[in-house]
Amino acid sequence: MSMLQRLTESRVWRALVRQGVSATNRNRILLVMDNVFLHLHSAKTRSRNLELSSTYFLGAISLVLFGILTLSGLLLMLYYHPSVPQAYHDMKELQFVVSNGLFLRNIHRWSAHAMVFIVFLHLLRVFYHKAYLPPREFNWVVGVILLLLTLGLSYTGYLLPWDQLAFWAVAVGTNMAEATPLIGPKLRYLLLGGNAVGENALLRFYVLHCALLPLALAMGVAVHLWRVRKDGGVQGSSGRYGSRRQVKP
Amino acid sequence: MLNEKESSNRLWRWFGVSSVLFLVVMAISPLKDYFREYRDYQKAYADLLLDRAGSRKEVEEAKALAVEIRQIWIPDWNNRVDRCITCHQGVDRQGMEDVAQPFRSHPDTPHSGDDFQAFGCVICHRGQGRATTVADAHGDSEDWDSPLLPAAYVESSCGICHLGKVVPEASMITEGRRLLESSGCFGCHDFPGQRDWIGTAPRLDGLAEKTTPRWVRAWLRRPADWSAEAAMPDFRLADDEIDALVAFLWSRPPLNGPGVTGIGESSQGDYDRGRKIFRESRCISCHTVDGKGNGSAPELEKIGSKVSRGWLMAYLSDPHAFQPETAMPQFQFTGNDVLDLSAYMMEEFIEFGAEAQDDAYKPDPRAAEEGQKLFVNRGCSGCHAVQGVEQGMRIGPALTGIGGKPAGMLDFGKRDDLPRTLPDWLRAKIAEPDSFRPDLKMPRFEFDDKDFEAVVTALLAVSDEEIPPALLIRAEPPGEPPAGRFGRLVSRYRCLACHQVNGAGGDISTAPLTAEGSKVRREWLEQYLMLPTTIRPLLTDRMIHLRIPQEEASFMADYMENVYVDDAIPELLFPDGVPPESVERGRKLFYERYGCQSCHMIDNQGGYYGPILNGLGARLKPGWTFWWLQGPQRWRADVRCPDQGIPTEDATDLAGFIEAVSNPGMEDAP
Repeated sequence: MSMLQRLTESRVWRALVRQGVSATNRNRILLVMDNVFLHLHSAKTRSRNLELSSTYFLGAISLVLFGILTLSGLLLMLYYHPSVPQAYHDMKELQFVVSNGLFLRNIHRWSAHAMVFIVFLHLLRVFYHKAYLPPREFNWVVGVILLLLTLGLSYTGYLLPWDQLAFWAVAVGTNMAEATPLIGPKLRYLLLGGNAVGENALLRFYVLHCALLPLALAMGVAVHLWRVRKDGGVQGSSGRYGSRRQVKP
Repeated sequence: MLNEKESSNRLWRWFGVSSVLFLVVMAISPLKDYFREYRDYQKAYADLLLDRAGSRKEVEEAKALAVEIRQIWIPDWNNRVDRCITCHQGVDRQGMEDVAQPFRSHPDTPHSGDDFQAFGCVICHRGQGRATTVADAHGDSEDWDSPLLPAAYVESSCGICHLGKVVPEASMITEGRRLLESSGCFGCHDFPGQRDWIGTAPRLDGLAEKTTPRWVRAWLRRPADWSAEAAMPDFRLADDEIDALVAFLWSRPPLNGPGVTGIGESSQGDYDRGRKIFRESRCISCHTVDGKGNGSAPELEKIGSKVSRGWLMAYLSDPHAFQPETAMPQFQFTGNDVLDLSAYMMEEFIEFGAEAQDDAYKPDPRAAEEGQKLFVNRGCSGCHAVQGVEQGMRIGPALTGIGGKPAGMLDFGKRDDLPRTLPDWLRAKIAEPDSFRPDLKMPRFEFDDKDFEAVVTALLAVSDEEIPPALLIRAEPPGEPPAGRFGRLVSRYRCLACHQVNGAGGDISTAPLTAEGSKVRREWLEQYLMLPTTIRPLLTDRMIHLRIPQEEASFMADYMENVYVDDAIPELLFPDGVPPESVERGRKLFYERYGCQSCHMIDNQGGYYGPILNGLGARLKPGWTFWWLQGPQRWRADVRCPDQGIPTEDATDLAGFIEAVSNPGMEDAP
């Protein structure tokens, strides 16, 4: 028995790789059903659905960007203190001292910009495809919530470097929130944890950016993908754009 | 299904190509990370050390140098981190003075070694301490507000912690702070710690009795044209503005203060006697005449063309009635003295070719009103008091934090030619304020290059940097001024214009007055106060002759003998007289060991740089001589007498010898 054989037949290996690579329908289904990450994915997809022009992969790219952002964000959290003035000092540490720190920061920043852009395009693609019509109206609403969460993440992340740009952007943004009828001033107070952009605001934005909003987004993505599976994606499993078939979400 | 296969293949190819591209991109960052700029500097430094190594140990030391970021970290001070020493590795190493930057040793400064660890580099040199690339560290990037400070202004950083007027071993900022005050900057600008500043500019009431409109016009046109030492800057006033100001000043009511009532013209007076009094009183110890004088008081060369005889007489009789803050002492002149002295001054010190006096000047009330507005708007009231106008209005912008202002926040106006840096801006703003905008009110100062540098240095020190209280060296509050009758006399004779008491006062004498009782003999002091004799012929700033009456001189001598005693100075060095062997040994030391005769004269033999020693014993107590010899620079760093590190026993014998030769026959007894 060769080493390879012994390895592939070991219990550990078989616990991790339960199915082989044979391209039978049964094997494919087992592969997906047994995999915790892939079970949201269809076991079998029509090749037509994979065509670039149907979605331009915009949803998938958004998901990948979210993955990159989560990973790079976790690494950035190792170096970042949400306190004044250390937050800005940490930017300098990332730039000048931390190994690949600037790369880490840049990839996080550019991916964030890209994610906002791609999510917008995704929305446009769905809109012009009339893919928001029943039976996918629920997923459209979920998608809009995901867009808002994406924007929220982008905005809260903007304050964290604690530079002039960040400070004034948040000062302006929260003053805009203050213009909300009735609850405006309270809303601003709630966002900033005070009346001015200061240490409390930095801490709140940090918690929102690193815990609340990403968790909400992850759950939203799960629901979104689940509905894609059940109701069909942009081009839809029903095969017809704008089918009037009512499906309970 | 060929189609499907083909498209699948294409997809795989795309996947492959993009994966390779992605890998390449991913490799860039680690490579950049590895080949950081400082790595080359550190290798060059190690090579340099190897080249210069003189021993095996040094070679090994050089080889063992790791390539790594080095830093000074000050966690207790806003978590400051300065990584300058990552490249500047030679700063705290001696013997690297001759190498090129970045490896050169730090020049000798009052701070070194442990202090570098305590302060870091950036607090003095500015720049970006956390950076590890040259451009970023030196603050040359757009997003860093605090670029490296040019070496010419580096003393400004001393002033961030040293808040006193005098910063030890930093003459540039000390001079700059002096200039800021003497040029009247605080009159217009709110300045940290100077909110209540009132300068020594004269009150302008009763100007009509003192001088003429012609003189005031000439003065306002450009003060420096009248006197090169004028403290007042050039306000660039137009002729009609000057007319308005003169009209305003001439519309003020006349003075009615004490000592001024006798103002009137007089043509009497003895010129020759006046000249004698002028010389005896040593007016030129402070006032400049013919280029002599230390310049601490206004020059007198053209005073006869400026003031009226009556005013001069009243002023000489009681200067403090005119200017309570003046440094001019109250001389005890008699009425005749004043008459003669003023006759001499009015005739001797005139401007040749001056126009005739214009006596019949009547101010136009409308011009006077205009002048009052100008007086406030142009900031005259910042320095000068006059009836009807509130003094102390600060019309200029506050200068709080000016030294840390980012260049991006400065208004360069029309000056496209200036480098966009704070020091250049400050300098141009003081030198040519109207070049930024023609309507700026800031006056023009008669500064030379050195003055500009000093003032800019002092301004750059006005920082809003947070300094831990433990590092701050505040201005020492002056101690208690002399009190009681002695205090009144000290104030009348303005002793503190030259002498120091409890940290306050001038810096002309070599030791503070508070040691005077340990220094000189009472009898001598009394005589000296009545009629000062010359101690150091080379000095210009000699003691002035105040004509102190005997009773007051005796009282002051008693007071100093008993109160102004320095306990560290032995009172009785030779209680039983100077032993002869001490005199003999002292003589040898004096002539052979320490060579004192090269500056001091005994029996007409020796140099004349220091005081003549014959008769010195009548003045100085041996205890003082003994103490002085062991550290002439104890009170002042610039004392010329060299510190030869004379040990106690040598100092005793030298004092004995000096006592014996300079004071024959006098016992060293109380």
